[in-house]
Amino acid sequence: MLEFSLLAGILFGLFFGLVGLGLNLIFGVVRVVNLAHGDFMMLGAFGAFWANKLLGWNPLVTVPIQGIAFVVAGVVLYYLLVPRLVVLRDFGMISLVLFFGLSQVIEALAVLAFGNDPRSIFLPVFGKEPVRFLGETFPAAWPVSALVSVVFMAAVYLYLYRTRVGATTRAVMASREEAAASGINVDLVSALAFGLGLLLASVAGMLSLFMLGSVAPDFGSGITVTAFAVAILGGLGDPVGTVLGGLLYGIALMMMQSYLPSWANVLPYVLLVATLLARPGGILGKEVRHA
Amino acid sequence: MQAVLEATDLAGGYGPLQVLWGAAIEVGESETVVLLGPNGAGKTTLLKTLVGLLPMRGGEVSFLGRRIERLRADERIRLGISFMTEVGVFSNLSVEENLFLGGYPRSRETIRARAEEFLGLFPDLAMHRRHSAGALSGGQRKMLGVAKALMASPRLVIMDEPSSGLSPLFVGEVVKTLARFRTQGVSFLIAEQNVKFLEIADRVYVLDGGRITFSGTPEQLRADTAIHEAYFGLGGR
Repeated sequence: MLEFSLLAGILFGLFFGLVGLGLNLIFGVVRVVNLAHGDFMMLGAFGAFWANKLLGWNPLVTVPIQGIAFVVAGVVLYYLLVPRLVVLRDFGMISLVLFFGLSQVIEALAVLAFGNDPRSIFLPVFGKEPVRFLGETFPAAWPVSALVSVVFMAAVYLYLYRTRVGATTRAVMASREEAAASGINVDLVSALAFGLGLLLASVAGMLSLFMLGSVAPDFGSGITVTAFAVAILGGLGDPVGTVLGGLLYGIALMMMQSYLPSWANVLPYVLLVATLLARPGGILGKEVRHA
Repeated sequence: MQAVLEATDLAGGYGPLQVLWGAAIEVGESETVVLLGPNGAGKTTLLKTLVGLLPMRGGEVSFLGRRIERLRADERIRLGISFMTEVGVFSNLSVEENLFLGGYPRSRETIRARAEEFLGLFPDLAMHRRHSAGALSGGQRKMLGVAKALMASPRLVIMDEPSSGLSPLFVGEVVKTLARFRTQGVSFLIAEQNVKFLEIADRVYVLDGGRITFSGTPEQLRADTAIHEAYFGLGGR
């Protein structure tokens, strides 16, 4: 059971790394805690669900189409909301309230549009045969989801560390003022990061249909807490650390589900509080970013 | 002499607090202008307002004859203005990355060539090229800030207290470095409290309470005993 828990924990951990990555990227660049992150995941899941149900599309096919839509939505949303807030003295607090409100609006609209029922996609869509790995057996959707997560995490790493716009993104993460003083269009870079954060949320949302079973319109608030716990664990504002945070969270969750299942739901909150108290800079111990 | 930068009747501040009250400043071609003033005089506010990091509440700003007050900060920088903030560098990025970002609007090839040029000029930085700027000494960080500010071959470099946090020895080094570049057709506007920078100044402004209270040459400033005693406590000479 220990081996299964560990391996499943790694597979789930990679998925949870992706869940926290979008939230942490947005926080690192824009310094906004996107409390609607989980709701964008829910929209990504519903997009994949309806594309599968109505058009018979494999959920992986929806990724590029939804990706473009979410990047565009993120850029538009950024320019609508953030520049007018960022100049305010209480930017951190006001943005929290604003994104909480946005989360509620998205959830209410989703209920109106789709009803309250949880939705799921028939699990064997990624292969009917279970996958054997190191002597353990897993549903095919788990390693596929982990692999998709790794691909997107690697893409974010390459974006940040191997491209010119990525270098400007890291500059904005380091200091918005210094970046502007270096001739970088801070709003454009931030808007792209915001769009990228929503894209990551949409992919994580699609994978949630397989990793978490089903998605309902009220899925957002709970998974946002999980994403926040993962981000805190890896270091708030440090997208690379989020991968480590996801792995730790995934392994801890699987261990809890194996040995103390009734306590597993409390895990995100316990990890959130414990990390903030013991290592506020995350496991890697980097400097804490301020909103 | 053609004005590279000309600002008139400048008003600005933070939120409801107005800090600048009708400040006027001019920097000519290849000229080094030092803006002196005590803590809280509004020097940083003036510089940030000039480069667009703070919103203007009134007045006009022209760069090379073009009105720029409606442009964003990055658009002003791309016209040929460089702004070295008090921090001056991205502490968590490497020396090389800082230089590349300093030349950001330029092409990759130009940036690479220029970065190698500066690493040749500053052997200390070359030794630490892959290290994080935060790991450099205060003096090395300032040199990196100066190099970063010059990376994009600007027409005007605006500097906010380049001496802050430095020992007198390193202040002398920074002054020497700037003296080297002022002969290369670059104009400088340097906000400072340290009178050492008067050594390289063609003209001086004194800012106090958000208002320009003196404008003239360093010699005229030295001759003005009242200003010296009031702002710098140097007893006139």
